[in-house]
Amino acid sequence: MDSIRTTGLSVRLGRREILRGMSLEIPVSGQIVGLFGPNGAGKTTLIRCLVGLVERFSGQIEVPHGSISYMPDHAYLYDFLRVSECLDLFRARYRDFSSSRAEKIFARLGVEESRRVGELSKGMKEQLHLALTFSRTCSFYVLDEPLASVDPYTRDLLLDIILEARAPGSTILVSTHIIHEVERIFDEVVMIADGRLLVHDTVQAVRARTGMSLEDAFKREMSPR
Amino acid sequence: MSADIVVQLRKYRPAFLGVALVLLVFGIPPLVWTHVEAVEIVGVLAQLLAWCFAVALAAYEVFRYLHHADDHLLLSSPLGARDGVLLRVIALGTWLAVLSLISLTLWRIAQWHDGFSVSIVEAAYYMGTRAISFVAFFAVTLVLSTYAKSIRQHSLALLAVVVTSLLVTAGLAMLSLAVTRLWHPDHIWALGIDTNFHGLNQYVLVLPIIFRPETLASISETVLPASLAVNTVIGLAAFAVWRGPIRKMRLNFV
Repeated sequence: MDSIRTTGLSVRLGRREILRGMSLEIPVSGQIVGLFGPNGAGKTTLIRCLVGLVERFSGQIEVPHGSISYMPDHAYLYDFLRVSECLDLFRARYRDFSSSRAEKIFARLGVEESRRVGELSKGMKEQLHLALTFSRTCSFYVLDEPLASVDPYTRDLLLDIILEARAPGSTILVSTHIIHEVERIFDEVVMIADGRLLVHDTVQAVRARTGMSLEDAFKREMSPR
Repeated sequence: MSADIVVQLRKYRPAFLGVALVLLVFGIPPLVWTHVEAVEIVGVLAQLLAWCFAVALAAYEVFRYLHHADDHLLLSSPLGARDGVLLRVIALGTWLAVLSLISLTLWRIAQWHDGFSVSIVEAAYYMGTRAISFVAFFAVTLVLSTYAKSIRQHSLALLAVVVTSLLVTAGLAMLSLAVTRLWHPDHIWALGIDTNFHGLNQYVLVLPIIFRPETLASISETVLPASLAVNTVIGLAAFAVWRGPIRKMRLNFV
């Protein structure tokens, strides 16, 4: 079975040590993994290491064979592009991209293909990015704060889309601050702080061990800091 | 890859069409009111500024891609974060070539007005020197911008790239002059604007320089392959460095 594995991963950006010897192993077995941590914990840096954007690190990184579908923590599609042109671009770029899947998700979310990205609200942009991310067939999906700007109704729709994307040969890693509202989708959680791994376990095990919801367990982990 | 290039071309369309418009608006009047000094000076100055803007924008956008690393649409291209910059370079180079075509057209009409005929070879040399100068310019910019990634502060890194670019350009200009004088010891050189010059500019990266005999009889006297060769060698060498030693550098796109 493929795994996502980091061994003694350390990253220094300027004078700051962002990740400090992080060792983590996530088997690729169709699960959804929540990545939690306070601001500045190193979540985005860890994610960028996993998708290959950070090359200067010490330690080792192994990611599963096959492609990675990555959604950064900010809108990245150019404002002048129409939604239909984004579809065309992704279709031209990625062999694993399914236009029909994208169109189905657009229809469900109410994203109009004729509109320009610049005309969309922040939440609508997030929906568009998420739809494009999950219209590819990959072994590893990485989403950095995908649910920060959407209303509760749309959040539920997006959570359903993430749940439906779960497949036996893939893993979905979702970084988020909104734990309480989204914890139902997670199978595993990774909690980090100060560039170190605090907890990596199944949701069931965390709940059983602490007797708390994920959010409360996370707050308890963070409270001594 | 072609879809990405089209998107990059569209990204810069407003800026470069604006520059094209400036070239035309300030390039046409001197052709209508020929030898009116005020019109000529304003026209040449405006075109020079437009070119400076276009070149500075192109260099900054390469630097920004590598240093700020905030363009995730391009960073996530199937070419990878490092080679994604080539898509941007192709788009920016294409726009600079379009501007060169406009300049060539205006220049040919001006020469015709002044009784100088421009042959196909001379026109091809004009475009060829420009194209090679752009390749050399982008290759040097890629090398300098990549090395500047070791400086984390954006403004300091940009300053380092600008200063180094100026030093490299000055050094190459001297080299180009020295090489040209091996074949043409009597050639004189000039920088800047000369509205009475009826020859072809040479290029050191994107800096236009005039090398010419004291008395210029025809445009063909300014077709100087030695100067072209310097740009070609510099461009190839810089690109080789970028594809060679720089590939071994580990970069952070954050």
